[in-house]
Order: sequence, then structure tokens, then C-alpha cells
Amino acid sequence: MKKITLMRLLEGLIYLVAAPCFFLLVMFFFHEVPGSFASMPRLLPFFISMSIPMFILFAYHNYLYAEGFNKRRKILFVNSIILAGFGALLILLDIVFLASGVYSSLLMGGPLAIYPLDHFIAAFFYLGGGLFGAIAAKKFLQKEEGEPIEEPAPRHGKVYNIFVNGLAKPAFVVLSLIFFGDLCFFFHTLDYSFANAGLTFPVYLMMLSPTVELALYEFKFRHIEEPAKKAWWAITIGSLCLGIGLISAIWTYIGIAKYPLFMSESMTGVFPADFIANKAIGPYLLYVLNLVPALWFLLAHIFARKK
Amino acid sequence: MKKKWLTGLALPLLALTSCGGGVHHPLTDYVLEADMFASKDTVRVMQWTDIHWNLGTNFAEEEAYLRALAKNGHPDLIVLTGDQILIANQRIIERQLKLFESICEENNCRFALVFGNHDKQGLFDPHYWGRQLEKCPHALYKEVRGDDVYGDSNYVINLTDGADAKWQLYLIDSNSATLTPGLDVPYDVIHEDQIEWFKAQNEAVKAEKGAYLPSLAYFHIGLWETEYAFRLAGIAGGTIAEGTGREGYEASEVPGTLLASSGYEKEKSDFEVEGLGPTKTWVGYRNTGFFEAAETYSNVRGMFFGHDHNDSFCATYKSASSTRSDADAITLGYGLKTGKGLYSLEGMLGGNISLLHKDGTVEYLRAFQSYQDDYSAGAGYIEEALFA
Repeated sequence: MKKITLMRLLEGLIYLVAAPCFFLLVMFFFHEVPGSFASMPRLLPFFISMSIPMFILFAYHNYLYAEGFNKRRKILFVNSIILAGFGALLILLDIVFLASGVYSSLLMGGPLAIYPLDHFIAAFFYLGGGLFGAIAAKKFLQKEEGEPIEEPAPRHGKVYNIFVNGLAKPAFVVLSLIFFGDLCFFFHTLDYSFANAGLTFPVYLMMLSPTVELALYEFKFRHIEEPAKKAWWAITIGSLCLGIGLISAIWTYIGIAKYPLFMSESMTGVFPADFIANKAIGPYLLYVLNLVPALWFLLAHIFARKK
Repeated sequence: MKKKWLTGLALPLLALTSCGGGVHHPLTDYVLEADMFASKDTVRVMQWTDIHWNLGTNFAEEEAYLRALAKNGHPDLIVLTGDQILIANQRIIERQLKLFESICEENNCRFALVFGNHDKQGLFDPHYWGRQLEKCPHALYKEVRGDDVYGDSNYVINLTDGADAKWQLYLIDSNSATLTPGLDVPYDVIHEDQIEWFKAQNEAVKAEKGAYLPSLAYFHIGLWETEYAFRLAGIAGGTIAEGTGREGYEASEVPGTLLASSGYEKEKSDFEVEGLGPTKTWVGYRNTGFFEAAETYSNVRGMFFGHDHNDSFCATYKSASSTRSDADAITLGYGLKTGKGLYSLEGMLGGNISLLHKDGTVEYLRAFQSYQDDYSAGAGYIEEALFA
């Protein structure tokens, strides 16, 4: 298998790990809000630890698509130091909390039965991995033929870079991560009575679709060089995602209007934030996530073709 | 061809949609019996509410607290009125049930529960609780699945003296929340079919015994009548905390009659309920008439619930349409929050106790339990009458 393929698969693997971690973080963040973060000292390592896989995902992505060897080396070095820092911080926090009595023991239990021992062990991996990455950046990373690894994203104007590359795209990735992470617990939270299967199905589809769209974009579309083929894929991905998104959104909206109780009967575990905050954040985020990026993608390439 | 294709697509879609409904079960399917009056004239029923265990709970501290509360309160029956967890997983539910079993074993008591609006929120399927409760020998819990009564935790406990039922406890699911096409997710209510089920249960008792049995009702989310009672208490200058928003009402604007009240609430923010205005009692989104049904079609003496953590308000109240005498008016109110889970107010922790006498009379107490390093000799435990 080609090195580049392996590296892309690794990004996918990191995404699969980051998704459930970040979902747990978000879920528990919403839980802590009404309680004014009363559990925070005890769960601070959990929050830090659960955010690290997403940090690694973004750092790795930037590494893959860096412009040139020097930039890539810098990205590896800086992010490795940050990762090592996180690891060191987690170790320090665990020691301090254990000494001060915040933890009754390293096996007092929490998100997992062996909390905080699980995060304590993970912290050493973060520290070691970060130090290794930093050393590798300085000592072992060699400029290879055909730099960069991946073709960097095309340059755009300042406004585009800020709002699209800087805000919209990362927001899309983060939200896709959260909903896909939610789906990772599908077999835990699924209503096995299937009483509302017809109404929950489009919701689950909307949770999956953004990640599929992201995967198609990252693993297929952006590596196509031939303009005609690229345009075909753009319209196909955009139309497919928009079509599925539109049908699912309408189906869900009608479902809520006709039988609003189906979510509280079958999906309170899926939309924890909504039922804590008493606001329908989840469904509306899903509508936006499924419609806006696909529409943007489609229109952007239709207009690009016309030029 | 096109028509056939469209029809072929529409039919599976229709088939997939929720059918609702359910199978009608005999009333007796919902009834459990506990022979608690066989050996005594008074049964102590202790209400625990809003324990709110979660992934970040300090289990050692909370378990010690609950053990102490049970030991000091020495109940015959612990009734949990919802929100036992919020953002938990299967392991936490199992741990909590194991604790309840252990407490009941130590104190020779039983436990029953209803679900709150948060009890299905976590990394488990919506029916996991029910399956686990069936494995608990000390649990008095009945869930009739696939029935035509909305909610899960709807059942009756008959407290008997031999074969003779003396008291009934109605455990009712006040459900969770309901989505709207807009952004709001208001709290759900006790549905009309649940009220019809409640009425039918009472009528069945009346048909058998010639009169309704004295009973208590336990559920999680309070009723609109709680807010009415609170407003009347504010007008009467009762013990209401400042800034609660009860000021400014005229008695003529608030339905019903307040006969007694006690306790207070410390909520700081308004919770708007359409048709009711700004409240702080966190009630359901509409008044489905359960209180009035209970006044007319039962001999419910008290209704106790949770949901509002920083609230110990209780009242004896009659609705505007009530035909009950003042002596038979229903006492309704919040159980003291049990444990520190999520958020709580120091000095307002513990549980309510209902002393059910064999002769059909009842007394109510508040049992305060504060957190201690050492719970021996009843440290931090105080009981007081609900109404002075």
C-alpha cells in the first residue's frame, strides 16, 4: 500500500477515535453547566484527555497538507510539544488531586470504573508521543522527493480564509465529529423496542451524513486532478448529500410536528444537550449541517464550471 | 410505471412511521402488594428525589450520605421520585441499584421509583432501567411494556394488612419533555390517558370496597396547582423568599384555595410556561387536569414530586372546582432534594416522610440530612413536621 494511502487511513483512524471522545466531552460539558461545573476539579483530567484526540486530528491534518518541508517540520514540532505539555499537565493534575484528596484513589471510578487511572496512563502516552514527535521533527524528519505529502489547499482571499477556512470548515468538522461520536454509542442508546423507528431513522441518517460527506471530500474529491472528473464528483457528492439531507430534514421536521414525543421516547440519550437545556439544539444543528455545506459545495462547483 | 414507483416508495415509508398506540392491559397488571401493615400500625414512606448520579459523581461520598439518610430515617419504603441519574452509563445505574438493594437489606425496607425527565439520558437504551429493576428483589417496581398508558413507571402499590389493602401509592410517570417545531423543549406532563388509567384504578377499588382507599401519588414534575398554591402563599405573606416573582398577584387572579403552606424556594430565574406566565416551579407545559381528577375520583391525601432542586415548598390546597372538605384537601409539594448531585442547596437536603397510619390518617415530616464526615449517632439528621 502506498505511504500516502496509509497516511490518509491514519487520519481516518484518528477521526474514529476523536469522535466518541469529543462527543463525551460535549455531553458532559452540557451536564456541568446547570451545576456550575461542580464536578470540574474531579473531572478536569477527563475533559482535557477527551479533547486531545481532536487536537491530534487537526494537528495531523495540518501536517499532511502543510506547504513545504519546513512548515511540516514546524507543525510536527510545535504540536508535539503541545501534546507533551498536555500529557505532563494531566500527570501533574492527577498527582496533585490524589495528594489533596480530590481523588480518593486512582481507582475511585468515574466515566470508567478505573478513572482516573485510565487517564493517568494515557497521559504518559501523550507525554511520550509528544516528546518522540518533537525529537523526530528535529532529528529524523527528512525532506522527501515530491514534497509536500499532500497538495495544500488552494489559496483564496483573506475574507475567504478567515470565514471559510478559518471558521466554517473547522466548525463543520467539529460538528460532524460530535454527531458521529454520538453515533458511536448507537448500540448503547438505540431504542430496541423500535417503536419510533420510522421517525428516528432520518435523524440517524442526518447524524451520519456529514461524516460521509467529509470522508468523500477528504479521501476522494480533493485528490482528483482532472477538472472534468473533479466537477463530476463535486456535483455527485453535493447532489447526493443535499438530496439525502433535504429528505431527512423534511421527514424529521414533519415527524416532530406530527409526533413530538418520539425524541423524548427514543432519543433522549442521543440528544442529551437538548433535554438538559430545554432547547432543540440537535435537530436544528443537523438541518444546517446537512443542508448548508452540501449546498455550498454544489453551488461553488456549478459556478466554478460556468467560469 | 411512474405511479407504481411512487406508490412503491410511499408505502414502505408509511409502514416505517411510528404507529403509537399499545395493548390494553387489565388494571391488575399494574398493581403490586406489600404487606407492610401486617406487623405495624404505621408505615414510614420516605421520598428521595433528584439524586442525579452521573459520570462525575463522588460515589464514596454519596453512598455514605444515602446510607446515613436511610439509617436515620428508618423507612419501611423508599420512594424515589425521579432523576436518579443524568448523563450516566449502565455501570452507574447498576451501581446505584446495588446500593439501593444494600440499603434495603441493612434497613429491612423496600424501594420503589418513578422516572424523571432525565432518567433516560445517558449511554444506555431507554428501557435499560426497567430490565435492571426487574432483577432487584427489594424493588417494588412494575413496568407494563407495550401498553396503552403513556410512560413507563405507572403502577400502584397496595400497602396491605394481610389480604386487606389499607393504603395505595400511585407511582406515575410525569414523562420527560416534548419537542416542538420551534426551539423550545418544554417539560412534559401526566398525559390524559394516564389520568384515565388513574381514575379507572380508583374506580376499581371503589367498586370492590365501596369507597376509594386513602392514597398518595408520587411523580417527578410538579403540577400547575403547585404554582397556584405558591402564588397564594406569596399573597398571604407566607414564607416565600424575596425575588421569587410571586409579588404582584391578586388573590382573584389565582385559582383555588390555600389552606396551609410551608417551606420555600430559592430559584433565581423565571421559567416561562405558556398560559401560566413566569414560574419558578418548573412545571409541565400544560395543565392536563390530574390534580382535579385526583380530587374527584380518588382519596389521594398527598402528592409529592421533585424536579425543582432548590425548593421545599409544600401546601394544602383545593382547586376552584373541588368538592372536598378542607379536612380532606390534598397536600402537595416538593420532596427535599436527596444528595448533592448536579446542583443543590445546603440546608435543603434530605427527604420527605409520610407516616401512613392503618386507620387512614397521615402525617407528613421533612427529614433533613446534611453531609458529615462521620454519620454516627444520627449526626446531621433532623426531622420536623411539614406544617408547624
